[in-house]
Amino acid sequence: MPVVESTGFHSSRRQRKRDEELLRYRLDPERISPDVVSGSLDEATLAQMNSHSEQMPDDLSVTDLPGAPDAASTFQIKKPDTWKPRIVAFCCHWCTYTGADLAGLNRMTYPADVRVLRVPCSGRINPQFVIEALNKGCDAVLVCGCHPGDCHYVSGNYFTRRRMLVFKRLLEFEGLEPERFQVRWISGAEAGKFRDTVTEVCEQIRKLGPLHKDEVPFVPTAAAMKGGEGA
Amino acid sequence: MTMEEVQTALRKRVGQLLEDGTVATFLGWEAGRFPNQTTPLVVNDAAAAEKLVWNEYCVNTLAKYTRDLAYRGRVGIVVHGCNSRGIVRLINDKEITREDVYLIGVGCPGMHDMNGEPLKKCKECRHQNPVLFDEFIGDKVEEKTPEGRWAEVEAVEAMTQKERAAYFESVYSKCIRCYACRDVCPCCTCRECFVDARREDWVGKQNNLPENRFYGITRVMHIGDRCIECGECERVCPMDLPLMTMNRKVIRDMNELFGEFESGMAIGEAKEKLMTYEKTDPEEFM
Amino acid sequence: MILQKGMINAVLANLMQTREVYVPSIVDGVAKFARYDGTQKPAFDLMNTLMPPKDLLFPQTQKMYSFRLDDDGNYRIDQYDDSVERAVVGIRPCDMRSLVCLDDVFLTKGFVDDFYANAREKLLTVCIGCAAPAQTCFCDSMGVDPNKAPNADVMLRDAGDVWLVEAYTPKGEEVVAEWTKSGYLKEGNPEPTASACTLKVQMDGVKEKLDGMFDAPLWDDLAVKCLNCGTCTYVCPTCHCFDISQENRMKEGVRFRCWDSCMFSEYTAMAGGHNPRPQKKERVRNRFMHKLNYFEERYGKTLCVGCGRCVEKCPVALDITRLIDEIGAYHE
Repeated sequence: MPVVESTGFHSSRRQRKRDEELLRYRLDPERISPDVVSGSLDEATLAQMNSHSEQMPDDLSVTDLPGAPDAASTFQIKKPDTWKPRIVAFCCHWCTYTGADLAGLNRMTYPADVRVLRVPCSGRINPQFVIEALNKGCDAVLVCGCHPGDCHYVSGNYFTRRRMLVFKRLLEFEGLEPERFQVRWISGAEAGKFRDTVTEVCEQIRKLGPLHKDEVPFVPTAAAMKGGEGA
Repeated sequence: MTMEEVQTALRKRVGQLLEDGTVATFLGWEAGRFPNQTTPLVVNDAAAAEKLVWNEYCVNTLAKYTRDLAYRGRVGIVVHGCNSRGIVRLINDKEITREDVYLIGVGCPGMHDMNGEPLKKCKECRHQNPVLFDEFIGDKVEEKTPEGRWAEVEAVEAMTQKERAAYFESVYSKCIRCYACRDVCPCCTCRECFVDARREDWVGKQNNLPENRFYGITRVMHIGDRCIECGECERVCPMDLPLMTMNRKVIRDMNELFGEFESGMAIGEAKEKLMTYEKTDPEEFM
Repeated sequence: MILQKGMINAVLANLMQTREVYVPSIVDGVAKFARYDGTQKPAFDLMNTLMPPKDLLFPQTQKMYSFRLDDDGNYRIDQYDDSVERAVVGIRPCDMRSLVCLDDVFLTKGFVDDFYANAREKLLTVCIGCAAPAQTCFCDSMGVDPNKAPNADVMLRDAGDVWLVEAYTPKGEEVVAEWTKSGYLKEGNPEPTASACTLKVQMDGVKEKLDGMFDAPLWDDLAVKCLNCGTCTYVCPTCHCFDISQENRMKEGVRFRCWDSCMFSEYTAMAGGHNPRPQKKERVRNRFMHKLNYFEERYGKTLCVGCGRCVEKCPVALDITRLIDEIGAYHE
C-alpha cells in the first residue's frame, strides 16, 4: 500500500488534517483494491483501472468527493448508484499471485473491485475463509490456484479441487448464486487470464447486485438509539 | 428371539462380562421416567446390569460415549447398526482403538419415539445389523433398503435459487446454536470445535443469520465425508432443522463426483473422499 | 367477570391498539411467543411453548451500547433502548413464576439492569391457567399453582367455555376495566377447573441435602450421559446467564449481550487457558446446583419452575425430576 509519509513540512493542523483525509481517501477499501498489481501505480493508472466505475475524479481534493471520508461509515450500505462490488480473490502464491503480478507489470487494466489475498497454496483455503468473507460484506469470492499438476507442493490443488467442488455445490444448494463463489486455475504466466477472469467476475457481480441487501447485522439504527452522552 | 429375550440374555451376559473383568464398564440403555422412553446407561457393576433394557425405544446412539469412558478400561457396548458404524468411525478417526471396546451385537428392528411413531432416522436406516461385533445376541434382522435416500435433497434441488435461499434462511433463522447436533455426532470429535475457538473468533456468540449459517455450512463441510448417516443430529435438534438433508447433499455429491463411498463400514476402509484425491477427478474450474 | 373463549380475538385486537401483543403460536414449526398480527391463530391450547417467554425481556442477542470515535478524537457512547409497551397473552403460570426469578436476578440486591427493567415495566402479562397440564409438567411440586399466577397482571382461569378473569395488579385492573367497558366481559363467577400435574417430585430437603453433596459420586454417573449441548439452558425459562461482547469495525462498534450456557466449555474459560470447570461433571453439577441450591440460598426460591421443557427436549433424557428423586434417595 502506498502510504503518505509525514514529512513534517505540513505543520499546520489544518494541513495535517487534510493529509489525513487524503490518506483515508486513498486507502478507502470502497474505492481501490489493495495495490498488489504493482507497487508503483500512479493516480492516473488508478483512475484508468477504475474506469468501469463512475465518477472517478481526476482531482483528489477530498472536499469535493461524494460521501467521502468522514461521513462514510463502513456500516452503511452504499446507495445503489454508488455501489461497487467487493470481491475477494484468494490467490496461490506460486501461480495466480504471480500471474496477477505479471498483469500489473504489463500494465493490464482490470476492475479495481477485486482484493487479492495471497495464500501459500490454494490447498490452504479453508471453506470457512469463503463463508467469512461473504458474511463480512463481500459480494463474491474467487479462489485461484495453480493448474492441477503444477502445484508447488505437488498435490495441494488436487485437494482443493475436491474440496471446492463439494463446497461450491453445497453453497449453491443453500441458495447462493453460482457467480458469487468461483474457482479458477490461473498459472504464473497467465496474466491475461487473470485479467479476464477478474473482469468477468466483476461484470457478473455488477449485474447481480449486492449480496447484502440489508445492513450488517450489528449496525446501530438511529431509530433504536436513545441519545446518551459520550465523554 | 424377541426383544425381551434378547434383553434377558443381554443382562446376563453383561453381568458376566463385568464380573470376569472383560470390560470395566458397559454402555446401554435404561428405562426413562416416562413409558416408552429410555436414556443412556453406564453400568459399572454386575448388579446394575439388571437395569439394562433393549426395546424399541432405545433411540440414542451411544458410540460417542466410548471416547469419554475409555479411560476407565475396556468399554462394553451394545451395538446395533448405527452404534457399530459410530464405533468404526471413531476407530478410523483414531479416537479409540479396537481394543478399547467390547461389542455385543444385536439386530435392530427400528426405534420409535415416545408416541410410538417410527423414528425418521430409523425409517431411513440402511444398516440395521451391526457391521462390527465381538459376539451377537439374538438373530440378525432382515436388512431393508429404504427408497428415497436422496428424496429430501432432490426436493430442495428442485427449487429455484431464490426459493432455496429463502428456505435456508428460514432454517438458519430458527437455529438457536445449542450445538446439540455437534455434541451428539460421532464424527464431530475435534478436541476444540471451531465455534469454541475464541481466539480465532470464527463465529461470535450473537445469534444471527450469517453466523448461524456459518456454523451450519461448516458443520457439514467438516463431517460430510465421514458422516455415517445415523441421523442423530436431526433427532436431537430442538428446532427440528433438516440437518440430514444438508449432510446427504454432500454425501450424494461426493458419491457422484468421486465414486460411491459409505463411511463407517469397516475398520481401515478406504480414505474419506476429501482426505485423498485422484488425478482424474472431474474438472469444473478450468 | 368472565370472558367467552370465542371473544379472545376481540380482546387481542383491543390490546393491539395500545401495545405489541405476543401470543403463543407455532411459527415455522417452532412453538414460541410470537408477535400477534391480527391474523394468525394463537395456540392457546398448547401447554408450553418450546421457546420460553424470557426473550421478550431478555432477548437471545441484545444490543446494549454503540460507540464511535469522532474525527476530532472524541468518543461517543449511546445506549440502546428498544423497549416498547408489550402485552403477552397466554403465558402459563410456570413462566410467570420464571419472571419472578428473573426479576430477582435483574432487579434486586442492589443491581438494576436497565435493559431488563425498561422492558419489564412495559410488559403486561395476561396469564392463562392450565386446565390439563402436560405429562412433563411438574410445576405444582415446585410451589407453582398451575391454575393461578399471583404475579400476573391479569389472570384467565379456565372454566369450560369461559375464562374467569381476575386482575391482580393496578395495571391489570385498568385493562380489565377497559375490557368491561368495551363489553368483552360479562358478569359471572363460575368455579374454575382445578387441575394438577401428574408428574410429582419431592422437593423437601433437597436444598439442604445438596449443601453437602458437592463432592458426591452421584455427579460422575449423572454427567456421563450429558452431551454438554445448550438445549436445556436455551429452552429453560429461568436460565439467565449471558455473555457481553462487542463487534467493532474501524472506529465504531456495538456492545451486545447474548445468552450463554453453563454447559459450554467456553463458559468458564479464562484468559490464559485455565478452565475451572473443565469436564462435563463440573458443568452438569453447576447447572443443577444453581437451580436447586445456590439460587435458593441467594433468593429463597428454586430456579426451576417445573415447566418440563428440558425434560421433554433433552436429547439424552437427562431428566431433572429423576435427578431430584436421586438426590432425595442419596445416602453417603
